[in-house]
Amino acid sequence: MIAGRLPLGWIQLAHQPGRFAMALCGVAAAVTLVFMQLGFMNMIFDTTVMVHRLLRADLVLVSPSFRDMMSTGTIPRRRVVQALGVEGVADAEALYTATRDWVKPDGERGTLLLLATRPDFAAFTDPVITAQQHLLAQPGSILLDAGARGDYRAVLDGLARGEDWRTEMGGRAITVVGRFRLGSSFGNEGVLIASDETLQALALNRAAAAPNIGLVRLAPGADLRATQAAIAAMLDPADTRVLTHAEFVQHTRGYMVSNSPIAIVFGFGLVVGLVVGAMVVTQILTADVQEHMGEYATFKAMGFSNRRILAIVYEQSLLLAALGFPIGLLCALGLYEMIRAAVAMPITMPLSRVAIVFGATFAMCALAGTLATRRARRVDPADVF
Amino acid sequence: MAAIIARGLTHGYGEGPVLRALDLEVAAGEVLFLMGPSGCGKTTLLTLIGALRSVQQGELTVLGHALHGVDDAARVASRRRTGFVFQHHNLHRSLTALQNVMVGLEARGQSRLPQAEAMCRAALASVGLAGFEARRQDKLSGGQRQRVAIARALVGGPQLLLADEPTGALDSTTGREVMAAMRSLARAQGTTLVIVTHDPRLHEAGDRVIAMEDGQIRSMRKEFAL
Repeated sequence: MIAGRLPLGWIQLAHQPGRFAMALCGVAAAVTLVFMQLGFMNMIFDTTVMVHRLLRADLVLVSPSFRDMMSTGTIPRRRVVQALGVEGVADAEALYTATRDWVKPDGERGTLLLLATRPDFAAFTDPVITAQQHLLAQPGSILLDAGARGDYRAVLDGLARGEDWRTEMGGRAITVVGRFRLGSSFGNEGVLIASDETLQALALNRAAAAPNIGLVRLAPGADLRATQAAIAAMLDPADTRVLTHAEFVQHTRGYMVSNSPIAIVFGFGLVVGLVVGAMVVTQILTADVQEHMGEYATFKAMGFSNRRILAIVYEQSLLLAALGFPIGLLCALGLYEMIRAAVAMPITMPLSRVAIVFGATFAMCALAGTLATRRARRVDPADVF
Repeated sequence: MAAIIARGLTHGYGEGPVLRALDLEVAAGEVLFLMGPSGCGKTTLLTLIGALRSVQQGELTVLGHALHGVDDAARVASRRRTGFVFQHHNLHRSLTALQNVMVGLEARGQSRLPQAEAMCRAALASVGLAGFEARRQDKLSGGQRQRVAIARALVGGPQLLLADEPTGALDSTTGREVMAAMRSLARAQGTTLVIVTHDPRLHEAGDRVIAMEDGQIRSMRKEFAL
């Protein structure tokens, strides 16, 4: 007895373990499908701003045509120098980006995003990179993303033994002198970091006067919004925009959400998952109600209210949600791990997503319960005679 | 004091009335048998007294509460004051004997009482099923199942017990035992019993036997006078 009531929903479910297991599988499959859709969608969004988050800056100067790191446009370098003259700015430097093919250790060609800046400018949030940036002062030296897609074990093992690895990029010899870990995205297989001098040598068509991004760091105590406004007032909005780092990240993420079909495609998959789950649970609960019509009529004849009968069905639907959800969550976590290992991309499970899917699972099962109660509502106690 | 008072009770299902202006009065604590051919209206009368159907015409008062012109909530409340025993035990197949009795107590709104479980165990013991609490219906004989149904109907002390062919699915010996158990428990609790049965051998357990025909009471006799 729980609060003076027999847990009839639970008792009925547990009495038919086969059907119970099938219902749990249905809920778990729906939960897994929803988690996968959300995981893939956010993985795409996250990978598009992965490099954004690697950049250490309070304000970012970008071209008005900037979309993401694969489509940045360029800004005049003098805008970076101008920003340096604004009160509150402690440091500013240009960042160059380029996508380049290179020959991987297995002889295959791969596309990587090359980031380049002055070696003595701490442009990155990752202290592992900052600690190795001085190695980039030697022309032709690069740092390799250990999370890049492909088999780089030989290179990484060599680096661990203190051996540099030489290869070719754009017809020029380069040397991998260090490593960091970021991961690949849908646009590129990984990231390389070089000095601005090395990039000029590797990308012959790039002018030093036209970097892709300006990184601006503020002096301690400087007001972010006031400094942003001061820089914006001084620059020509036709060639440069000033964004806070958060706006910089949101700009690309927002562009992807609203201008790509990704959210629609995965959103559709998510709805399909919930509908299929609701159908499975409805089907099973309806069959259970049908099987217990005689008992429900007896209960009603004995004095059970209609609400008490419906509560049995809802109890079952919510139990299926509560027990099916963790199974689906565990499946999704396992699949996330497999995907991380297979494609070297950051698929994560934030608590907010767990909470949202938990809520959606209960809503799905409550809807299924409501549909299943249609028959239970029609139980006539006089049918017992 | 009368437990049931019916005046001009008329009820039908579309093709003429099944009950025709029936008048009946049953005293509190009385054991009344209803008999008659199939279709004579005895089950309809039972369902009206049990508040399983709305009264169409006439007046019906059960345990001091009018059942004519009342809403569903009033009928549900009336059912909580009444115990039912059906021809087929109608036990819940997923529940143990004890849990089935607990359902009866829950329906009566007494399952929150601290002694609720003890009351259910006592009800089972009173029908000779002490030690059978954990058994489901598939581990009970037909007679034992009907005893559980009686315990479920009488737990919590309803003032009225309605039974429809309670021994119909049992052999004669088991039927007599079940009837005796039902009667002795009802007597102990002062419960009014209205029992529909075709079995004249059981009438000796009653105070009064009413024979029905064509929706009306044809005859009424004191059983002890037979």
